[in-house]
Amino acid sequence: MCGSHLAAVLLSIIALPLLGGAQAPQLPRATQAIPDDTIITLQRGNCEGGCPVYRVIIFSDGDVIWNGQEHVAKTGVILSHIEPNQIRALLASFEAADYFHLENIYGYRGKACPQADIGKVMTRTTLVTGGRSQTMSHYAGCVGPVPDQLSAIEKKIDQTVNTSRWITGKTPAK
Amino acid sequence: MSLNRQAALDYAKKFWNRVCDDGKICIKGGAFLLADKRRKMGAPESAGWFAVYVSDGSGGEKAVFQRVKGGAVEEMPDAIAVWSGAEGLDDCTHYVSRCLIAGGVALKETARANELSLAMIDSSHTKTLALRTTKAQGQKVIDAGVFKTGDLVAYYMKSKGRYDHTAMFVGKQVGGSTDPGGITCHTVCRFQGLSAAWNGATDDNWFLHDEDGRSYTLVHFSDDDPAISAATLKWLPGWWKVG
Repeated sequence: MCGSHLAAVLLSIIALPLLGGAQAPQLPRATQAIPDDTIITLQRGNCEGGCPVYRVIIFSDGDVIWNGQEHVAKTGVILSHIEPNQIRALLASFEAADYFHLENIYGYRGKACPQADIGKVMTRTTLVTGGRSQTMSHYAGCVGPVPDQLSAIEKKIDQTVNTSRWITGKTPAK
Repeated sequence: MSLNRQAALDYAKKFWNRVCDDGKICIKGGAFLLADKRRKMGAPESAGWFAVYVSDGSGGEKAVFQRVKGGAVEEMPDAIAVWSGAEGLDDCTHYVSRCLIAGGVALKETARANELSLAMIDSSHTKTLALRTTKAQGQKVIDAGVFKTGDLVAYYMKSKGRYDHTAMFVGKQVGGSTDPGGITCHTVCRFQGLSAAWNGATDDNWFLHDEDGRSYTLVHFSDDDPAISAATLKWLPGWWKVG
């Protein structure tokens, strides 16, 4: 699957300029500069029984803001930092999901989730970069390949920023 | 005094999607009194306003005032209580407590799932048929027929190290060989067989939805169990592995 996807990407890079077709801006590769306007956000909502409610904002320069609200060890605002290569890795995960071309239909009772059970977590992600922006609502009761990709992005943001230290209050052993 | 299962069930059928009879809505860290909210929001009972729990359209729940006027249901735009925030809804155990009290159980009313669960596990009027078991193990206990309407289902979450939700077993309301047994609860309000039409909830079976670290404790009120012979009783006590 990866091989055929790569072939398709290379073909589109070669073919589309020849065809004069418009191409969506590529997200920055490993050595490319991260656009100054890049902002990535993750918001997790409540659930039955009580789930961590928090927001994370990542800026292009690596600054991270944590805003813990409920069911977390650290409530309030904390400033942290991640490295450029970590931001690029996050952007790559958005690209792998073709995030900018997804329809926002995976929320509670969204078009793709008409039968979603009540009481589960609603998560929202936002990506702003290179003049484009997209927000996706992802209700945990919504299943399928796209929700799985959204879950992977959300999990990667959590892991990259290491939100578990603020959710649990425990620093993982090195 | 043994649990009056019918009384508990009758109470549940009346209040499963409504504010409990004591006029209290439990929220994180406290409670609202319905009477106070009626005054502040201009929703007197004399004008037909009643308080119910409804879907908030985002997967959560809110408490609102509604009334029937001209054959249609009118709802106040502002909610009495909402899903999230420092004063988010947290009425599950308060409701279960009220159901059990309606059934004649003597208990210290609480809104804390862990407190009620541990108290009922320790009660001399109960037997814990399953203690932090898997869904499959719990289902075997239920299918054995010992777990009855009015018994307590307590939901344990490993990551929190405590019980975080409670519900009351209502038997097999839907019926049929595929009915695993259902529950009634608040936050989010459910009653097996009635929830879908009210708020779209289809997970009103006893085990709710799968989660990492979730386990189940089934607490059976045993005062109305048939008498056991002394000979049998000698080898029954203790823990038995099911299946």
